[in-house]
Order: sequence, then structure tokens, then C-alpha cells
Amino acid sequence: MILSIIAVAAVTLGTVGIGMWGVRFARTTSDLYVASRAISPWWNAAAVSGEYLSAASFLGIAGLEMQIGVPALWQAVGFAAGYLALLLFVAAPLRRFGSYTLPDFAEGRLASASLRRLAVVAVLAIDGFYLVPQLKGAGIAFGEVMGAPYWAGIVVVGIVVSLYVALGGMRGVSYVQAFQFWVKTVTIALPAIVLLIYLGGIPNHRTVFGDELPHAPRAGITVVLHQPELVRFPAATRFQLDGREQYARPGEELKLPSGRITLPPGATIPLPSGTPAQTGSEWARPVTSRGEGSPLFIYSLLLATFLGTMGLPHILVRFYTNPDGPAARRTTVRVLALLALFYLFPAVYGALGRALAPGLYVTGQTDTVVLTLPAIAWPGTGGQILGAMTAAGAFAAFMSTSSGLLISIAGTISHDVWGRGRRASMTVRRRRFRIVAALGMALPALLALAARTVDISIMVGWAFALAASTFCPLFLLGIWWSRLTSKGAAAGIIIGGVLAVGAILAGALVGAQSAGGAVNALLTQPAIITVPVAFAAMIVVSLATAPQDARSQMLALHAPEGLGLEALERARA
Amino acid sequence: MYLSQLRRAQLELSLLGLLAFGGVVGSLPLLFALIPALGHIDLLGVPLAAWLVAAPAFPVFVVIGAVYERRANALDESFRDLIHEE
Repeated sequence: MILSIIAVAAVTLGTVGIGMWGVRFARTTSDLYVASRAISPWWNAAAVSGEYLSAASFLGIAGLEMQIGVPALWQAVGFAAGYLALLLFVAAPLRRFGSYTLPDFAEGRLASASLRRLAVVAVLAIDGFYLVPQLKGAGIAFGEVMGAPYWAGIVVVGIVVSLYVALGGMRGVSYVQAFQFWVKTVTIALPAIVLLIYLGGIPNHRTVFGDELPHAPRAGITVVLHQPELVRFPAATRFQLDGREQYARPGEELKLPSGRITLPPGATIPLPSGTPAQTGSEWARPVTSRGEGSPLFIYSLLLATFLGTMGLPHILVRFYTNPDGPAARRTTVRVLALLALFYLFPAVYGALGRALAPGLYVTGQTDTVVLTLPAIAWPGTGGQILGAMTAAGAFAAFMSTSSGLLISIAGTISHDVWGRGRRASMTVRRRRFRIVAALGMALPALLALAARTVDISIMVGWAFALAASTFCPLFLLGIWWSRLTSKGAAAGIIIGGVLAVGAILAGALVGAQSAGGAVNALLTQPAIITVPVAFAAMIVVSLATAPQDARSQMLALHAPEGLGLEALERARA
Repeated sequence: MYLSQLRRAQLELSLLGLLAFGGVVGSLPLLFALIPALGHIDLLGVPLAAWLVAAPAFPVFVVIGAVYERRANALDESFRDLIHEE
């Protein structure tokens, strides 16, 4: 535990230190927002990846994998694929268009102030949906590493991030993000490799890939429940509850009170009610017939992540730090390479967690497997050092993503919302940016306190679904289709956004678990319906309204660099 | 007039890239649903089906991305040459 605290403190100090060093460069508003567009492609690619690899990637994929099985790995595939969509359709034209933010693009492309306001609302909603799970991750990780209460991690990460965003702006943050990318990659890769070598591969082969359900190890297992929990026993099990002998029949559901549950060696592990009991071979199947392994859910998730990444405001603003279109393409290809390296490793933790840390199934705390696995798999100093590394990486993950989101929120509010921000003087805007950066964490932190029981992966999936249903059609049609009109764009954003938020809220309120099959999948991840509907709305309404002249916008989006003004005039003709 | 041709050429290239991606990733879930035998073949102790989700997609993305980058820059370059010749 001491080691973990030292590692987390080192990452935090490194972050603040590099942030402070960056402050010296933050001289103008343009520095504060987009770092003067003077960062080299490798730095920028590491910064984009650093910002992108959030609690969902560092903790959530492994946690979901342990819980539902190999289908969870589709999420990693989708997270990486999003940059391919961004590269193919958005990166270079958007950079050439030269706006700072998503609302700038909406107004610049379609000359409509009300469309801009709509874009502002969507930006804040997406940032909010994404920030809450980061803070939840901080809360559970603080609890796991330091034994602190859930709210403590939220408060600490919230304050640290607010401070360095307010002080450093993006220039500082760009170097912080690049630093944190490497922190995260090393701290997820090294422990995974060392553990696999130490264990000589994946142990308990029949539990992970064979015909067995997860069961207690040879020494038995003790789990502490902090609150009463409804669990289902897949097999007949004798167990002790605070020292008293108990017995559960096969398939019996029991409401366990808070206290210490002790399972004898070889006992089949009880699971929270609603989580299906899977044998190893069921667990290892990439596509199953139900729930989050069903083809419908997988395709919906792939669609949301593939098309949602381009609509994440905190990622897109980073593409403006490229000097020109080709540099934006170069950066994106490098991001794909860096992410390819990172995403090989979360899967290892999910599989080892199923083999060695079945206690996490009982409490449903599989989201903490990356943090707790090293000490369980390797009792002694070795495991503690590796555990300290993953703890440090997890903190880098919350801090980098939340700082990017907070910059997006502060930039949007100080630029667009706060009393005609665009016409205020530089100094006033800069002061406002800092005030919002200091205060903007409060509401998401309150929401995170309420969202303690929702899976990190699921919440992040919502942010992607919302981005894919609003900004993705705006970009794809706005960049590649000159017939798009402002009314069409507004209709698509409103219909896509309302449908996505509606499905998410309906799923959260009625409990997606209680609905069956396809409905369940669509309420948890609605993108496969909402994205096509948003596209259709944009196209139909655009065709029904009067065409807008988009020649100069198309020129700005697609004309290669270095043509010269005269040549541009000829090309336009 | 030229510019709309360039835009069209770039869009065609992007859609080709999308097709390559869709072929790789879009077909994987179907493949697993249709060929359950992939779960019975082991490679280094891990079923082939699990390997196929966990690793090969990422380098394929990098390759598609790198090829696209070269082709897209080449299209821009030939457009520049065309304009400057006039």
C-alpha cells in the first residue's frame, strides 16, 4: 500500500510539474486553447493517445472482460478503430478548415448561429457523459489502493485536474498527456508481461477456457461485503457467514447481509443476481447468443466507437494543434500505432482475473481487477511493486482524460456561453477560462457520487453513442456533401441526440437487465438505431430545404496546402 | 470544377479504406457466429477465436491507415501539380 501511494504521488507530481513547466509557454489565448499549433506529430500522437486512454480502457475493458467474457474485447477494437474513421473522413479537411472547436465548425460550415448553440449543448452533454465514469474510476481506485471512502478519490482527482488545467492551459497539458500516455502503456504492459512469465502462462486453464465455473482456490477464499447483496449460487455450496455455517442449494438466490463470506477450497463462486454463470469455454467465446455478447450488441458497440471517436470534443480539439492537413493525417496514423501497442494488454488482466481473483465476482467489483490482480497473483514484494505500477497508471488515466474533458468544458463555456464570450477581450476570456476550469468539475463530481453502481464501460459507451448520433453525421455530411443545410444539420443533431439520450435514460431507469434480448442490447447501446436515424434526418431535411452556397467552405476543407491564392481562384472556378 | 473532382477522388479513397476495415472487422463477429470450431483450436493454450479478437485487428488498422495516408497525400500532390501547370 505504501508503494502504491508513492507511485500515485510520483505520477501526480510529474503531472503537475510538467503542467507548471508548460505554463511558461501559455502567453496568448491561442496558446491556452490549442497550444499555438506547434507540436510535432509524435508528441501530438502521444498526447492524443494519452488523452484518449481513459478509465474505460485502463480498468473498464479488463473488468468487463472478467465479468461477461471475451466479447468485452470488441470494445478495445472499436476504441482503436475510431481513429481509422477519423483518419479516413475527418482529420485533414477539418484541420484545413481551421476552427478551434466543434461549435466553430458547425457555424463556419453552415453559417448559422443557432446551429452553433445547438452544438454547444451537444459538446457539454458528451463531455459530461464522459467525465462522470472517469471520476467513478478515481473513486473506486482510491478505495482499492488506499482504503479511502468512495468520495475521497473523486475530490482529490477533481482538485488536482482543475488546478493544472486552470494554470497550464493546453500547452502544459499537451506535454502532460504525452507523458501520461507512456506512463499508462508501461504500467499496463510491464505488469502483464511479468505476471505471465511468473505464472508461466494463464493458470487454471479449465476455468478460463475449459468446462469449469470460477471456484475458490486451494486455500479457500474470504470476501468482505460492505453492503447486503443478492447473489445466485450456481452449485450446491457450503460457506461461512461471519463464522456461521450456511448452505445454499444449486441455483438458489440468497440476499447476503454485509459481513465476511468464507468459501471453502473448490467451492463454486456465487455471482451477483443477473450475472450469468459461464464455464470457461462459454466465457472465451467472442460472440454469444445473449446480452453484451450478442451480435446485435457487438455491432452496435462497434458502430458507436467507430463513429463516435470523431465526435469527442476533447479529442478533436487536439487535431487543431497540427500545423496542416498532411500533419493531421500523419498524427492519426501514429495514434493508431500507439493504441495498437496499448490495447494488447488489458485482455491479459481479464483472463488472469478470472483464473486467480474470483472473489471480485462475488462483490461485482470486477472494474478493480487491474489494480488488485498483481498482489493476488504474486503474493510478496514483487506483486506489490506491480500493483503500485497499475495504480499509478490508473491515476494517469483518470487525470489525463478528465483534464482534456475539463479543457473542452471550460473552453466551450468561456468561449460560447458566458455573456457573448467571443467578443470579450483576451484577458477577460482567459480569466473566465480559469474560473470555469476551477468550478467546472463540481457537477460531474456530484453525478459520479450518484453513479457508483454503474459499470465504467457502460457509461463511456453512452458518451460514444451520443457523439456518434450527433457530431458524426454533422462531420461526414458537412465535409463530404455540399448539399447539407443548417436546418438539416440541426434536425439530425436534435433527433439523434434526443433518441440516444432517451434510450440511455430509459435503459438506466427501467434497468436494461429486466428487458429481454434485443431490447436490452439496444437500450444499453442504442447507436445501431440512432446513428442511421440521425443521418437520415439530416439528409431528408437538407433536401427539403433551400440549398446553401458551400463553395468557399468546400474549398477551405479540401484544397491541398501550398496552392497560392491565384491558383485557388482558378480551382474554385 | 477541379476541386470537386479531387473531393470525389478523396472520398472514393476513403470509402475504399472503409471497405477494407469493414471487411476485416465487420466479418469477424459473423465468422465467430458461423464457425464455432474456432473456439476448439488452441494456440499457446488460448483458443484461436479469443486470439482473433484480442490482437490482429490493431496492426491491420495501422496498415490500412498508413496505406491510406500515402495515397491521400499523393492525390493532393497530383492536384497541386495540375493547378500549377495551368
